[in-house]
Amino acid sequence: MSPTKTQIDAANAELRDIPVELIDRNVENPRLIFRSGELEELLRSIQEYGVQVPISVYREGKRFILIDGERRWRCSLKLNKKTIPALVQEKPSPLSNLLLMFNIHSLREQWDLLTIAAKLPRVTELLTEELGRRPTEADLADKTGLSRSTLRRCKLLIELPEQYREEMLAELQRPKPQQKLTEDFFIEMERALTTVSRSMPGAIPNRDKVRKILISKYREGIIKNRTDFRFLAKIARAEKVHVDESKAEKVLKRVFTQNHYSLKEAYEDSVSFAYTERELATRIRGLLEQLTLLRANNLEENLREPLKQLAARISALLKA
Amino acid sequence: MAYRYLSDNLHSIADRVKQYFRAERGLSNFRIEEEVHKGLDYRPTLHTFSKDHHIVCIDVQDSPYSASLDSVVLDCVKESLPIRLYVAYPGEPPPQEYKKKVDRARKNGVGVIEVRKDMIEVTHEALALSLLGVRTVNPKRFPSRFRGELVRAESTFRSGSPVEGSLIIYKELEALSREIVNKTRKKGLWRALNPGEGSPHIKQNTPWQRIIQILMEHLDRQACPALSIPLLARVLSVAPHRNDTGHKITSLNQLIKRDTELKTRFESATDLLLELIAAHKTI
Repeated sequence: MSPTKTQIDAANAELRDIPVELIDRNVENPRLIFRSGELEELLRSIQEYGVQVPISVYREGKRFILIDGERRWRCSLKLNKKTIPALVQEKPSPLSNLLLMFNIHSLREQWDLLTIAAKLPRVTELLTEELGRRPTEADLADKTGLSRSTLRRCKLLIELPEQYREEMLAELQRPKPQQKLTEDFFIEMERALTTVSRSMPGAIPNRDKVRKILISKYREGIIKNRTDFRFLAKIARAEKVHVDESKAEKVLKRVFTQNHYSLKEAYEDSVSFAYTERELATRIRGLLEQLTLLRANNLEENLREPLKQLAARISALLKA
Repeated sequence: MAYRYLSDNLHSIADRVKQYFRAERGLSNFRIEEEVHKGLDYRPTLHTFSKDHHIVCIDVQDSPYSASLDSVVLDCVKESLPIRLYVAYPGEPPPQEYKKKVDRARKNGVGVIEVRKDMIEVTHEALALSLLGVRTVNPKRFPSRFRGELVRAESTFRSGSPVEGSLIIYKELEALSREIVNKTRKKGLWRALNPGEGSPHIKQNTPWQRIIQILMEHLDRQACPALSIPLLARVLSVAPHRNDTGHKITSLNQLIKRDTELKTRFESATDLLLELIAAHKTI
């Protein structure tokens, strides 16, 4: 993060033990989800070794507001600790408060993307006030410590209708191995649908209806892997591999209306062969480039035989 | 007060379990994530007090047991805290390592409550953790005729009825004491206190304490060295406890004190029974 007035003076922070009961969570904390399995690991560590790293707080009247260390604070409450070591800092501005948490956490551990995404409009609003203009993607990346690709992923999630965000939030509460409709699922789906909408708008008359059918297919195992959504984008870009676009659009419409038609089947029925051909052509061009570097007089014996086989196969193919 | 530790997805589980305990067991006034006792470094999700002065704690988790509860159980045992601890967890989908965790809960006296969409089931009941620390009885150290009752006594004690569990041991001690009295008398191992004086008459309803006193006075200790005065004095000292086990508890502190005493009494009565059996064999 570049130095700006959003930073606070950490050198003036005071380290002390403060009563656990006098601490309140920070309403601006982008982190909303504390999965019980993950808290349990920290709980056991604190049970055994105590709180080894102080939390960060600022004073608000007679109480303290958390800046960093919500999990440590929660575990200390659970373990009936009376006090917790804390760095008591000056009260930050609203923007500093938010950005501090982004920077502390996003650099240290993986947050759930949806919870970060949910706080980005607030960061944008506060930054607009400070900069006097709407922040660019580069500004946001600089201030929050998030990469630009992460910001783009967040944008896809924010733009989802509320019902899906709520569904995702409920899913995120579950232990990771039990999660099915994950953030990555929605990101893959939305990216594919955006490509389809741009290339073949006629294939998606109602995006929400399409989402519903795709989610249902995923739940029922007709879509086996979230990366299968990449097949949709490939079908939508049929003209790049010289496949009749109307045929591709027909296949997409079938995917978006028929319950048991999988994305892989759609891919194989439409553009699979064309993409394979294109890939083969690319490889042949690469091989040709390498063959031009070979000299006939110093050709190794172990290359002669496969080259003869290749020549025979090419000749047979071209004669046919 | 709202949940501060509990993950959001488990709030509804906690609320439903609270309602279940109110409807099915008449327990209310649950406190949320508050201190249970100053001797316990853990705040369960919910706790309340039962009419028999036990503390009923319910910890809501995403599986039937977690390793952090090991030290909670240990603290309750050490401090003789009369806590019945349950873990409530969502049954759908079934948690990982389900059987292993349920077995561990059972072994540690922790109850398990499975919460499903349409039902709540107490898979097994919680034991009073204050009683869990009682030393395990090894029945193989005792003659076979005592083993069944000893196992029953221990399981009764651990399952929350320490008074009744102890009573089973006292009854065995009393029966054996009467057997020793009859056997020593029949074998002529009693001595007259004064020349020409007969031995006192003992009826079936002569109190246990009284017959031990008579035995101590009349037994020819040279003929029965194993039935020593210290041993018989110990039997005499436990005899009053046989009828001293049903006093009403009126507070948590009284319950803690009673459970601590009962654990010691149960263990020493079991030891005493073993010694008395050994002495009986020498007659």
